[in-house]
Amino acid sequence: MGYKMYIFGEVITNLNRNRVLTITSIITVFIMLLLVGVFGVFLLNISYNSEYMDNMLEIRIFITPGSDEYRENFVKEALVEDGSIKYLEFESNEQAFEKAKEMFDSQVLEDLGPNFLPASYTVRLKDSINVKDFVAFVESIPDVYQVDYHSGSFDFAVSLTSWINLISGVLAILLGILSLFLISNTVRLAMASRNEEVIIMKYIGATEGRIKLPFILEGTVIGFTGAIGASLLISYLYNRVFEWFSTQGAEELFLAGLKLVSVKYTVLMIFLVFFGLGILLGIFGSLLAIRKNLRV
Amino acid sequence: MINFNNVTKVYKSGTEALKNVDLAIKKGEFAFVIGPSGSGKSTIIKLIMKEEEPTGGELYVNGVDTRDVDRYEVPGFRKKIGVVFQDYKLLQNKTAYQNIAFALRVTKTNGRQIRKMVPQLLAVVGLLDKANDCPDELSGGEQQRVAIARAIANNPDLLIADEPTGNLDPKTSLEIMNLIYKINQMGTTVLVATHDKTIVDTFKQRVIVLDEGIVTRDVPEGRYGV
Repeated sequence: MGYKMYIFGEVITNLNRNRVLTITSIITVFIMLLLVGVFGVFLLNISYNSEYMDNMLEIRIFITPGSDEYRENFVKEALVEDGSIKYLEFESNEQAFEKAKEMFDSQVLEDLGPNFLPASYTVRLKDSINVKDFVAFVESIPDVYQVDYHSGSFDFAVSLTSWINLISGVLAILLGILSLFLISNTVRLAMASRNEEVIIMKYIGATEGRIKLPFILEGTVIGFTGAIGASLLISYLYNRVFEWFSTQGAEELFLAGLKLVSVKYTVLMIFLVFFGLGILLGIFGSLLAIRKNLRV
Repeated sequence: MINFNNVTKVYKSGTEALKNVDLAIKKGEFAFVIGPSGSGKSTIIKLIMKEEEPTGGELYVNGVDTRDVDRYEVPGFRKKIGVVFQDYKLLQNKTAYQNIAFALRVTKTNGRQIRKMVPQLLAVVGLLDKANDCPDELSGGEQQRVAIARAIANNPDLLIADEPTGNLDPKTSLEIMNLIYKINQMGTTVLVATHDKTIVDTFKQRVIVLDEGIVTRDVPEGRYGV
């Protein structure tokens, strides 16, 4: 126990001695985790609401006007057989006619009759990312007159998710490398400034483990401290966003059907993931620095 | 204790630092290694400390062939050897007490034993009253005493002193050598690499002379120039 307390004291003393570098490294880890966390929480909520978003994205398939029941069923079977849809609703031309009468001058429509309106299928996909392939397939089915979907919304949603995934991934890697580099640099400079100490330790018979341990712990403290800061800030911000969104935000953003992941779950995930990431960054950053600089 | 059997050392640069050196130092012996710069004194020390490997021949330290000491055994091997340097190599931000305790901590001595042993070691080197002083508050001689106390903290079988009086005045040099000699009298084998003619002549111990990597003279109770 005595040696552990001694090492802990040494770690704190040494971090304090290289204060500027220590603080710089902590801030880098903090910023990295903060940015990754913001995107991560965003992705978490998008994933949580993916069903809602899928439901927003409906495809309307119009059958050639004047088609009979046989042709309507042919199209339906082709759609079902494809396997991409999770929801299908049929609207006959008569039903469409009734709806149209509610919207337009019913007298004019009565003169036209229901036959000019096509029957249609409304579908929702299991996976919206395949929408373009699905539409291309549907357009090739005989007796399909037109395929209608809010391509802008689809493309936007799919694109948004892809971009968020990509940016999060790239940012996480870049910032992770930057943090590793800075932590590694901190430890390397600490080793250089304590070169005499390392030499003495080698000469008096300290094992490599005993020599490395303080430096690894210093890197871990840096990673851990950055992680705590980022976790607390994101938790606080998310709590504020959650309160705002639940009370008025959803309405203001026209996203009334959306729900945010609970604060409790999100905060737990943040703390678990960040602590793990922070500590790993600290350990690997330190190992990177001491690997070349230490050999008994 | 130490046996050099036809040892040769050629560095990567091509420098032949030692050439067919045959040397035996017995347990409990006191020996000076003297010679001009580049004669191979430092190489002898590095080989004994397993900082370098012989290019040829065999070197035994305490009965162990240094070639058989693998990387993970080096710390244990070095624990049995105390080293004193010309520039003391004390930790500037630690007190005399802490410098000695440091040597014990990194070799897994427990806290209670450290608290018992450090004052004893300070007493051996006559610095009990300077326990709480940092190196910049100590004279050169006092710093070297602390370094010696640190070197013997783990009760080594062998004490190597590499120019221990190089930065000290004659009076202090003599005090330091008396201390090292006292340690030898307690049973520790001592090897002192030095340029200090006065010290060698005063103590009249075994003198091993190196010149361009060759042992040119090896006499018991020798003098520097003779």
